Amino acid sequence: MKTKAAVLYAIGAPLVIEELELEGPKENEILVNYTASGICHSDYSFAHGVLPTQLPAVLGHEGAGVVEAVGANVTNVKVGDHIVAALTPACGKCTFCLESKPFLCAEMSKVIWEGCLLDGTKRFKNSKGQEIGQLVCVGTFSERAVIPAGMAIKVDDKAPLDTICLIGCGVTTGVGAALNTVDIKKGDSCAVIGCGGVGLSIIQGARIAGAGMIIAIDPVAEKRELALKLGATHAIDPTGINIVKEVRKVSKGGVHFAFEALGLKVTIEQAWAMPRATGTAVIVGVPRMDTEIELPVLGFFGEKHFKGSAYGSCVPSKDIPKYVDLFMTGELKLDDMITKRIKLEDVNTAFEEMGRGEGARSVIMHG
Amino acid sequence: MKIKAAILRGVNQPFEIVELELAPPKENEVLVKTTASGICHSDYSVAHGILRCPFPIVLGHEGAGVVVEVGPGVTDLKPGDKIIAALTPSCGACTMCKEGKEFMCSGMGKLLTDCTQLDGTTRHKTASGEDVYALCGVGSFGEYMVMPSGSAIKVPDDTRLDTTCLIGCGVTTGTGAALNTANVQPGQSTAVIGCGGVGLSIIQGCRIGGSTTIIAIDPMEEKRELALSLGATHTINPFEEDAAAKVKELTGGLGVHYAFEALGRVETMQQTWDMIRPTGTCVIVGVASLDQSVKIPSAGLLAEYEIQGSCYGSSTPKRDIPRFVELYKSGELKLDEMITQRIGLEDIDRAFEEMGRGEGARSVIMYS
Repeated sequence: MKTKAAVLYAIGAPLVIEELELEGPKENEILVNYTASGICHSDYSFAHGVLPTQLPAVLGHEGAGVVEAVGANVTNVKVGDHIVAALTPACGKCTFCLESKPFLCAEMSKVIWEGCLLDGTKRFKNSKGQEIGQLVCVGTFSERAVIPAGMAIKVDDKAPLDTICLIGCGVTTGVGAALNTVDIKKGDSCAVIGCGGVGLSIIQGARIAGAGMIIAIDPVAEKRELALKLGATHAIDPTGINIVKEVRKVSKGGVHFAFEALGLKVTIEQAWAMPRATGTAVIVGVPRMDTEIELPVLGFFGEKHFKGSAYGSCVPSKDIPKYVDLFMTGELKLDDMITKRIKLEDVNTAFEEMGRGEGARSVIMHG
Repeated sequence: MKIKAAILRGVNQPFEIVELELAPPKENEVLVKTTASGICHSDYSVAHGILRCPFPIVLGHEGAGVVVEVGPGVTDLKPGDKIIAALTPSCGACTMCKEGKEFMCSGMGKLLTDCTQLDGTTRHKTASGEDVYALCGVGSFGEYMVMPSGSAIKVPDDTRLDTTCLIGCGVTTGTGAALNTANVQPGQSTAVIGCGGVGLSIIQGCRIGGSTTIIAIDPMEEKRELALSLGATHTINPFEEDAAAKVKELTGGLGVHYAFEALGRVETMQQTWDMIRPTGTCVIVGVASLDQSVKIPSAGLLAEYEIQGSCYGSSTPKRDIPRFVELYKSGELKLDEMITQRIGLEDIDRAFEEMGRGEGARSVIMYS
């Protein structure tokens, strides 16, 4: 079948919008018709070579849609089901799946770095017959895609797919960092560095967990305002000030949890300095792979923790339907996070805006 | 009263054994006759300027003894009680004490850096009237000690003090790092860099917690052998092998659940990051010079690596010190094996020289 998609052929080049040939689902795979896809900062990172993946590839990894066909042996979803695409194959066989940590499934590195399906092959071809990969095995910048059945998480039919698509990556990553990676107790204080889609989701997770003080940090005024609307109790512009000192002052000695959602060496090191004794720095942002983090040893004396959070430490089959429920009950606010809805053809413009730090989330509406 | 004590007048100097005047305990303080004191690596660090302190000072902070006199306001201790000196006064009034984190008591920092009692004054004086400080507000390199009553942890009357003195610092720091900070679970894998008193205590804590793969890393053969006798299942000589690669190999390529650093060197702290499995934790127990930084590659964050400090075994001394005494009495926690030699106060310089060469696990000073 034919499908329209946005393809990255070279690092730094604009995405090419073109019609691709798509082969149908094989065993344990499904065909999904994506309703919508968020544009996540990691798409931008892949397009600019900050994160590596094999090219050419259909980008996009934050999608939701409707199952159109299923391959042999698929039992978790059927044709017509509404699904959110999860980012882990949750193979169920590797060490980490057996330990109920599918967010570290051994198959994940294959789907992220190689962009192929679990059998090692690709399903997209361009008009010249060249094989095209799909980012994180989901390739949501395409109207249709074939994905592993384990990555299709069935959700409530009544939930609007063009909004809950954000749960596929940014929301699960952020809300999960607050609800799964760490154990925020009611009244605990938090600081969140970076108020893009992930940072705003962390703020919401902290609010849902019952955090007392939630300090949002971002140089962009509109993002700080959005942060306050979504649950932050304080919003600080870090420009030109000593943000660590300010956070320690506002929180009277440091926060229980400092989250970093930018993936920059300088802000990761700030996150280490913000917690109180026995507090925790949670690094959610993904820095360049060659980044070296320097942690002054004094913090170890205060029993501080420093840890990474990957995909919100989530179990997708449990957490994605839970976040959809939280959205439906109004606790998790997604509409406010969507800055604009665009057509697939406008994806390059949206990337440029993201490069300038504008807006929280653009959502591509597939036709 | 007059007491004999070993004092230090400056960094990198020998001890002087002198007679000091020790003032009686003030409010909420106790006077203790020292039975025995371990020599801990932190004493060495202070003596060599790696950790700072005021001079002149009575070092020693791993002591046990018998209460002789209590100051006004002390209700939970009486003369004749056996006690082990804790490093935290557990003031009960600061934020961390209120949260049940006595190992972070704000009074502890004061005792560590100021080396006075909690009221900011000293109890020791030289014959010429000069103030003498006491490490951690304890000063167990003296025949008698005055300390905050909160630092004196009562233990049962039938407790041997000449071995359990080690629980005051090294054993609580190490065993607590495994059982409290990390909370090692049965079947988990662990690696321990450095097999001195603290490292060996971590190994024992890992064994008691049920760790089934315990990898001890130390260049000294005698320490590796001691580690095996105390619970390690494997040993690595880091001078002969790439320790991180060997840890991975011993754990099926995956890495350990917990890697502990018990040396206080940033190079080995960084090495722990290469030893853990995804979602594993590096536990930094050793104390490095405070102006240094640990440099770690960010890639581990994607696999949810964690690194954290462990201070005084994350202990609540009134709960944990009696607990460790019980584990010693039941035979699970082995202390006799960790004591390399018993010495008189006069031999303290020799013991420090041996420590500087990395020899032996623990020397214990015996008082008559």
